[in-house]
Amino acid sequence: MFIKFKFNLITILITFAIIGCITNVSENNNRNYDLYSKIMCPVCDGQTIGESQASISNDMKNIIDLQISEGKTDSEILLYFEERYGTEILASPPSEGVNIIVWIAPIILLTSAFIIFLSWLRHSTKRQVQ
Amino acid sequence: MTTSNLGLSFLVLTMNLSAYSILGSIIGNKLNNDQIKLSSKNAAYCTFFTTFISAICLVYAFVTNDFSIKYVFNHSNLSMNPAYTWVAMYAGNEGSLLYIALVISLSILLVLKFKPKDLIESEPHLIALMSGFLLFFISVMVFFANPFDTFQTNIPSDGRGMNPLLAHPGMFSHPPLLMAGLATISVPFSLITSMILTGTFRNNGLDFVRTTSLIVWSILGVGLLLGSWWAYTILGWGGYWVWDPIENVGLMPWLVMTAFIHSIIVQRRRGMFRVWNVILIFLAFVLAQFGMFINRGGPVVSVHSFAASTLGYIFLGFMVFSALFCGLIFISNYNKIYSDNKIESVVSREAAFLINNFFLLAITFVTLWGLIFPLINEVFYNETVTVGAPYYNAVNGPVILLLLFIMGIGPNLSWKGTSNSNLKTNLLYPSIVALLAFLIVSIFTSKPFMSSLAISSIVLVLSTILYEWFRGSRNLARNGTHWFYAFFKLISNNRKKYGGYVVHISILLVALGVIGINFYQIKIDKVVSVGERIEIGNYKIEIAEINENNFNDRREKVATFLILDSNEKIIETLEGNNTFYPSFNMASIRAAIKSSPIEDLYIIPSDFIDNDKMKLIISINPLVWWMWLGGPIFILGTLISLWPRNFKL
Repeated sequence: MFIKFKFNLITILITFAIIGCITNVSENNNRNYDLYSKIMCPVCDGQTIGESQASISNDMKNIIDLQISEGKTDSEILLYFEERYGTEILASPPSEGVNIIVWIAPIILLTSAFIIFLSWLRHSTKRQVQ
Repeated sequence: MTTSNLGLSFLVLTMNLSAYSILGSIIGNKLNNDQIKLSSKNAAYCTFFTTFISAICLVYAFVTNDFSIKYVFNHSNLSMNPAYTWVAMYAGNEGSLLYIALVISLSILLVLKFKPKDLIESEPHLIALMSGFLLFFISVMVFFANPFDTFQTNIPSDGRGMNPLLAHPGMFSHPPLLMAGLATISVPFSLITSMILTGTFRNNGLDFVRTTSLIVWSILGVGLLLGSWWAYTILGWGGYWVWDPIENVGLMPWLVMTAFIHSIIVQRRRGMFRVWNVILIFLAFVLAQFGMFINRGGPVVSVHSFAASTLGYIFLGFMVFSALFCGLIFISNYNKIYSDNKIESVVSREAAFLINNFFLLAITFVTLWGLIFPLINEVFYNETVTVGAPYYNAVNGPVILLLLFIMGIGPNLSWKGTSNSNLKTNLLYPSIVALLAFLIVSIFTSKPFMSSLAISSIVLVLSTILYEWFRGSRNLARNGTHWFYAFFKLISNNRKKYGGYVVHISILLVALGVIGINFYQIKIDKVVSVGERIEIGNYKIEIAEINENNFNDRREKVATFLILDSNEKIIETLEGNNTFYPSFNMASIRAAIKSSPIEDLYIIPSDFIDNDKMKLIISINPLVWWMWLGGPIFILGTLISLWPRNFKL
């Protein structure tokens, strides 16, 4: 009984964790900082504009602040930069087109691997008992 | 004879010595000639001293500002703080290779010295493998990246200087520990491979494998955490952890090693998981070589590629070679490795170790996938993308949470199988406490669900550990012993286990810091003038003054902040600085931090607009203090675990 209960608990946890991720990837109290950390600095190596001291990053931060005050949504702002600089300006690729693979592949692979792993574990323990 | 000649001569000598010790141990083993074997062993011993002399030459050249050596010219200058000249040796590609060679040769010396006697059969193979690894690095230096290369004419009078971002106290600890950790994964790897090759992969040598793995793993762990601390104190590296490619390639071997040090326990106790352990150590070794490749000319962009060179293809080649070598050894010796013992119950400690391994490898896989996806995308779809922190946080976050959860359950299960009543005694109270924590956090903070879940997982793990300590000490204290003494007796009776618990607590502390900064951070940025006051949280910050100091190679601006509490009382004076290096066109920006167990007040003078005006990024980072406390506790736990059995307290 307890074993069953535990497996259910794990399932519930996984579900919650996934829901949690989807609903609020990060709910910082500062929208502009969240956006700064989602856009790469176009002239630096591996820095977001939140980190970078390049003048273009400061300009981009100002554009974000302005667009927030104009009432644009996060995805509109991100799209604005993506249209101008290409997908690589985003710190993580959007979950559409081929880039959806980056998000989906690990989730599918790990979930299926975990299911196979658990069934193997239960199978091999059952065989032992017999 | 000049320093450079001396250094290079000894490099060449080391190269010959290690080549000799490889050949000697192979031939000595074939002919079963003890004298040749001993001779090759002595040659392996000597490599440490010859490499040491080369390293001393390079350090000496740095300390005496010998700019006739190109490497010194490129990574040092006269106006640099003299303390850094002692460590500038590993500030670039060539010198860090020499440092790595030094560490490898030292590890050869120590392993041969402290190796238990029952590993004698595999000794020639061990020497050949470790010397082979050393030979690779020495040859790369001798043929492609000579740290002692000199200017023939026009010896410059001053150098270019070290990369400004490296001028930080962290330079003394983080790079040497991380490089040492990654390089010495070769030790447990060589030990196990040599045991497999000689058919002596039995349980009696495993204690030594475990000891070396724990040492390597803790060096790497501390190195990573120090890197995290370093990145936290400055602007530019994205805070304590940003999933940058160079950070990731250091993390992945550590994760696999973490899996390894857990599953090796099962092999020692129950003779199981032999195949699995071999796979893990091979994987850790290949990932360490992958890290070397990414670091030294890999195809990815990073904020900290200090050792970048044009030698990427050599390290890529070595990585591929290592992978093929491991595969070959594994396939051709599978029968010798295979073990018969099977898992008896899903609710056993063996199974818990396997699940722990699964999650650790899952995090490794997610990290690796994020690292190589941009390359795949570029090759197949001709599109450049960046895979950064948002991806890793979203995908790895939940897996890490599950790992934390299993960390609470696993240690409470018994070997072979656990009865329900046993589980109930161990987990009932901790689960109730964790549930309460979950409710309290959910009700009293308006933060995401994930944060409550994470905090309650931490509470679950901590309370299971404390509860077990409590019951253990109570049992020992029954016959009148003092509680305090009973607790120490409990720990010293089973150091391996309780040292492990202490390490678990240190991981919880790191997790606490991560939760604090990810879910509860408050951040503002503002342009302020001298004399102005800003309010954030319970603090008032007054900008007292801005001082400017000019050096030959840099302009340093230091801002002094007065921190006042809500009653207008000055509680602390802090300094943050922003130093610009014209020759690198780069600024190094150091945060002013007031740290306390509850929260850090964190001020970055990100930009100076005028003589008396600057742009500040101010944040309150709750609980980060605990993350750094995790470091000493981690070391303490490893030491308790490693403390020799016959040494009684």
